[in-house]
Amino acid sequence: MIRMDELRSSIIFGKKWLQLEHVHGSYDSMLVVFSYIVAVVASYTVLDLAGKVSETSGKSRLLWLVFGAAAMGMGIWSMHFVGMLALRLPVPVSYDLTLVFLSVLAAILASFAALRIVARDKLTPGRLIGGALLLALGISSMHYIGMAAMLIDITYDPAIFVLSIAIALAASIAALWLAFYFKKGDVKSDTWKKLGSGFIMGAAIVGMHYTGMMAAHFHLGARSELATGLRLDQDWLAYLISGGTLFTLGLSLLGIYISRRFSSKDSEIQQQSREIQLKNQQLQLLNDNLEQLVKERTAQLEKAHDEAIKANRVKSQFLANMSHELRTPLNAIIGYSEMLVEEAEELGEPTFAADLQKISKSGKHLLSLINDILDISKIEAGKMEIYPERCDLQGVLQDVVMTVKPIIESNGNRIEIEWGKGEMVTDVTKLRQILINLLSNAGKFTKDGVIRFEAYPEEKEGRSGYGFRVTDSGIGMTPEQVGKLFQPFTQADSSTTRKYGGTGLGLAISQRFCELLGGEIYAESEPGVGSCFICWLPEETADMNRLSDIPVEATFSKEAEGSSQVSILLIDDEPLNRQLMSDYLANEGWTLAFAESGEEGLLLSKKLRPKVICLDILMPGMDGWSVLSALKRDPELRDIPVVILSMTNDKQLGYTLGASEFLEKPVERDRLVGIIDKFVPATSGSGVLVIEDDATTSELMTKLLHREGYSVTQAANGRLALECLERELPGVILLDLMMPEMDGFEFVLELRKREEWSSIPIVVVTAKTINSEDRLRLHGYVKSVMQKGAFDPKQLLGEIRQFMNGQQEVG
Amino acid sequence: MRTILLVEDNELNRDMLSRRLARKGYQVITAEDGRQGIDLAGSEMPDLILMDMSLPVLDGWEATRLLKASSETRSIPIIALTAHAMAEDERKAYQAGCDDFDTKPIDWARLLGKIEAALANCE
Repeated sequence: MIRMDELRSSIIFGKKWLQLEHVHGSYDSMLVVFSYIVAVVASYTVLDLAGKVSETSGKSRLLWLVFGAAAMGMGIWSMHFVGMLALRLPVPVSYDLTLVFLSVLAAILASFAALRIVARDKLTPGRLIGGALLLALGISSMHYIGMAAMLIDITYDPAIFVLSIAIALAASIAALWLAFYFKKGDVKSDTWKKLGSGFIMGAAIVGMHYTGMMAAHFHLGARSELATGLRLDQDWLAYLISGGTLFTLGLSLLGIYISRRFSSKDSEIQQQSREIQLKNQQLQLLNDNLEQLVKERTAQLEKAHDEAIKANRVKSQFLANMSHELRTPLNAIIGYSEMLVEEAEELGEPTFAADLQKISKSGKHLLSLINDILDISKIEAGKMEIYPERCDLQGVLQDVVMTVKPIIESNGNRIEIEWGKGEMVTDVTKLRQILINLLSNAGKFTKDGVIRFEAYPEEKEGRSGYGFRVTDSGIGMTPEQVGKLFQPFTQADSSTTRKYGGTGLGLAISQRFCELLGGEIYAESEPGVGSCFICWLPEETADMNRLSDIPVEATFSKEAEGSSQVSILLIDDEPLNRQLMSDYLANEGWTLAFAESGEEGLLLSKKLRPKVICLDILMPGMDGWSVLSALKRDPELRDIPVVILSMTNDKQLGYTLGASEFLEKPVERDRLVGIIDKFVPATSGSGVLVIEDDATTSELMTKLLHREGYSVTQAANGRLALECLERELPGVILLDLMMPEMDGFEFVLELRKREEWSSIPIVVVTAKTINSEDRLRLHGYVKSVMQKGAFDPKQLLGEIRQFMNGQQEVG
Repeated sequence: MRTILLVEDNELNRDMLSRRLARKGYQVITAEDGRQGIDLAGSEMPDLILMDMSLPVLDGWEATRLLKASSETRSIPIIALTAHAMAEDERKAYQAGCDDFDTKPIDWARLLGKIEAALANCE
């Protein structure tokens, strides 16, 4: 070996030796470092890329593979090329571009193969070795092709050449293994590890390269003479290539980084949507559970509600019985004490008499309390009856004031009254009780004050009536207390009972009485200022008892029993309601039957098979719920639609038990009619079939009937009429006798053959004089015969109405 | 002297009522149940019967029906006494054939009035 300066001098001074001269180069240290940096960055990129490639699939995997292979190949190649450029030969070296390009290709191909292996899920030793061999082969071929591209004569030292291949192989194994090892790594924590590995890998690649370079001996000879076109400034070329490569690698790292960011966003989104899906499933499950729970709770509530209704009735019954039991000993107490008062007075024992008087008075007080309890339980059991009568208001009010005056004045109060003349039809006993209650309450809760009692005519919602106002200057109440005022068994303050006495039922009873009498009661109050109670009652209260005296239901029931076509059965214990319903429904042409109790309702349902049952809920004895359940249990009655008419608002329970409709009282007429209309099929007789061959007469009758609201079907003869009957059953048939094709007599004969037709009432309207033979032929099948000459529309309509309502049988 | 048959199962009430009636100058005979009441009515022929309705053996309504069905006792006025202050009970009492009706605990003056009226009606 010769030193560099010798080499240079020999090149300078011995040009003739040139073709045989053995040249030695020196390395540009900057470029060597640079080549190492390129190798490290390339290695790092590969490690990073490997993970990326294995994360993707399909087209994008291929894309990443190609991109990765290009980046890696270019990285390795530029390291190598910069490394070659770092070698300073004393002569200018040109390059064969084709071979340079080939070396690039080799690097890229090798990288491609290596990446594919690394990107696999599993790295078996065989695969590792095979991949490493390929990579090593690629790198080596790149290197030596690159060397061959130098237009200078090169000989190789075989030992070092083999060593360089071995290093290449070792570097490849290390690179592949490291790349595989890191590809799944978490980005942040492994960046440093990857960088470290990059340094090692870079070192291995650089080591291989420079070992390969060491194997080379350069000679100046024919090839260098041939060096033609490409003669570049080596330094700048090296910087250019490495700069470009670094830039490319940087770009690919950036690309990876960005795509990672995106894919991490993607996976975050995926993760989140998975969580959402999971949450959704959980929600669905919860929802299902909830529905189940709601169902269970509803059932429980219904049961509880039923039990509560039952319990309340039992309570009322108990209280009613209890007060009877209480009255019996009271009877003795009051009776004996009164008797003893008389005796004591007769015997001249005034002190005894006074004390006995107290026993008697206390007994009577106790009696009034028991009466209150009895009243409220009667009201709640639905057994309170009212007896309206015409009364002179002034007389009643004076009487009331006389009664309460002692109570009011005992507390040092003064009473002011203001009222005019008036007359009312109401239950006087209940009115008295209401007013006495209000006034004695005012007296009880006021001390040394003024109690004002006014009565005045007042119209409410179009009804004339009277207002009764009791104003006191007593202790007053808070809004909460006012709110609870009319509930039974609650006084404004539980200490009230101790201080002021009373059962706390007075106002509850007064309110219920007001309602029974068709009025209302309310209170306004301010603590410490006083209270004002206002009761309003209508001038006339309907007399339910008198209504019940009218044998309305009896007539209807009888009719109903006689008829086979009952449309509506109304089960209601309240006579007023039965009357109301009959007013509402009878005019619609429906046949009604009534039952006064649940038991009777069930019996009549079986007997009459109505088309609809209207059912009240709150009835003594068997209530509406029980009736409804019993109806729905009976296979024969199950299909009859039940319309509940009730004060209660238990639609849920009603529908659950099988009611078809639920109407809250008070029921609107139109709504009721509309609903009944739904259940009573119109085909069973709401229309009129007019059989008449004379068009003018037919039209005349049709117009007449339309005006009355009937639907009319026209047929020009018997045969056509039979066709009409096939389609729809009329309620009444108007029949002419003399017609072409099939006359009236034949039609009647045909009609008899079908059972469902034979019951349709027929009115014959004819110009023919009916002789006895005709009568015989029509006998029994025709309800009525009218002569056209003496035709009276009113009479005809009357008969039709009669038949439509099915209330009267005409022989 | 007018005789009143008091049919009442409660001993205290029976004693109290009979003593009070006696103080007012009536002769009082008592029965403890409906059956006894019917027997006594037949044998003693009282001028008036005060009949409690809730009675053992035979209740007041049934006893009244039987008394009113018999030609012998039909003319004896019967005043029903009941603690059942329901309008329904009043109706039931009249349906059974009672001539008048009063609720317990009795209002002495009112009951006396009713007794006098019933007796006057008979004459």
